[in-house]
Amino acid sequence: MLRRALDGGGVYLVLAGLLALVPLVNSDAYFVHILTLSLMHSALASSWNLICGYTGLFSFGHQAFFGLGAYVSSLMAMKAGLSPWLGLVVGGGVAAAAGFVIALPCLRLRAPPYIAIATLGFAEICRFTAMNLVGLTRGELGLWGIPEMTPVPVPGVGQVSFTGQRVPYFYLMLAIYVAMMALLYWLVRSPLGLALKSVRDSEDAAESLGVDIVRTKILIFVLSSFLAGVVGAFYAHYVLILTPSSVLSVGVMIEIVAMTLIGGLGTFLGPTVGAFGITLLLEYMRVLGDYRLLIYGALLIAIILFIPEGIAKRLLPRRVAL
Amino acid sequence: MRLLLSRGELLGLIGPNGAGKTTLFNVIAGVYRPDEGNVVFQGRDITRLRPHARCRLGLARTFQLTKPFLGLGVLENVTLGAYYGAKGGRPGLGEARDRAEDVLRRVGLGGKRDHLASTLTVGERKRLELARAVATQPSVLLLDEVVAGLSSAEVGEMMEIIRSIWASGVTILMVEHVMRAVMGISQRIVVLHQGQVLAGGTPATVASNPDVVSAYLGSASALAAPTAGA
Repeated sequence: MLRRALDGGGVYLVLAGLLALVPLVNSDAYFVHILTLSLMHSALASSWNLICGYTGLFSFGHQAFFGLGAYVSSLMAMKAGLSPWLGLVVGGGVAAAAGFVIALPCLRLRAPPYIAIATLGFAEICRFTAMNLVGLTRGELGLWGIPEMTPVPVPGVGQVSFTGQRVPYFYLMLAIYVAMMALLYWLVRSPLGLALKSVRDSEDAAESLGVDIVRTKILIFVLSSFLAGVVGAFYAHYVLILTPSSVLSVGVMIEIVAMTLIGGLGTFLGPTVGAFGITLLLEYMRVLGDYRLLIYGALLIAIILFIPEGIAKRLLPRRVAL
Repeated sequence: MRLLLSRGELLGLIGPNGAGKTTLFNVIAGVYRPDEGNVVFQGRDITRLRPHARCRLGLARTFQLTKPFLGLGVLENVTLGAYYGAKGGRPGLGEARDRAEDVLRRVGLGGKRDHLASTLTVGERKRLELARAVATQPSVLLLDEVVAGLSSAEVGEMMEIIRSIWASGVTILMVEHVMRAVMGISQRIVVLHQGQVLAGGTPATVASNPDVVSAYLGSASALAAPTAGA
């Protein structure tokens, strides 16, 4: 019975439950902040893993959806007084619409380099737009004054305020992450999950067996973009300042790729393992100054060379990693 | 050119390299759209339909170079066909899986159902390819060099499987280079040469047609139908 529960996703609920207990044990603001960033990166990398790892579409412009979610939610809150809670959905929605737009030209492209260039081009257009619409975004000077999440009543806890607090943001991010992973868990085990993997392995064969690859690709672009947009919106209302280079640069994309590859591309838990590993490593190696980037680079190369399938697949039991 | 495939027929399509067999095959399956002309299936013009839609109408195919979903299990490969390719509405996932298991047993891969497709041999991949297509419950099955690269014993086994599929009422169009296979199983043969139909008829008629012999292999014996037991 225990085994059945674990196979049915219970192991992930146990892990999430353990994670929820961490701030009760150690509520140090910096520590909680690092955990929150790790969860955020996990969610972002998992959303990219859906499109690249499971569907085989090498999008190299995922930062565009993250950045769009961040900017749209911030600007809607600042200029139109939209609640940041609604901003999470609106940011995700605008990112999803952008995902739909970029999916259309990508439908004609099959080779990964072309899809990478097309999506990167789109992301760069977004970045340059944010840089040059100074009147709206303040460009690289940074958009500041973004409202924090508004207080929310939680049953059994009372009114929870986010002002100057780290722990509530941690639990909010954990809730977003758990909801997202539950969706992905269901999706990759559903017939749609089979269709995604078939498109990844052979588009011709998938189509010859009745899979509508156009609809599948559009759907996955839209869903993946929506998830990235929600995470971006959360980020904006958490760090409270945005610059184009912090949310729309290629550097963000490289981090997403590195986390996913290290953890395990196309595995359920891989991006989370990679995101926690890299985020914690980089933060706790700050004492080493710039040498930490050298170590980070060397470690990245070593893992790709010696554990190309990713840490999750190598170290975790198969039913947990996948 | 005009090619007519009758219901319940097993038609062999042969021709030298470059004759246009695979191109024709891809036009029928919907991978290529013809510059002119139509593809009509069960009285309906399907020229503008994409491959997945043709599959759902009952037109399934295999590939000359097998295209297994390497990251999926054998059962998952076939379940995908049974689920997405099914004619007349999508079945439940459980029903699709049951059908896939049944098809795997029919092609002799029942013992491999939990293996990853990437671990299969060439011969097993050919069977998997066939199983996926059969799982869509097609009216017409397009087989593209389904025995190419198989050993003599494997060819014999594959022909038996194809015979049993045909006997179940599936119409089959078979492109093949292995003469022993195509001459031994086909009711009718059509010979393509440089994009044109050069000849058509029973295997014996085609094998003795001097134009075919001259254009195709240059040797009558190479086109001869197999002897008993071959």
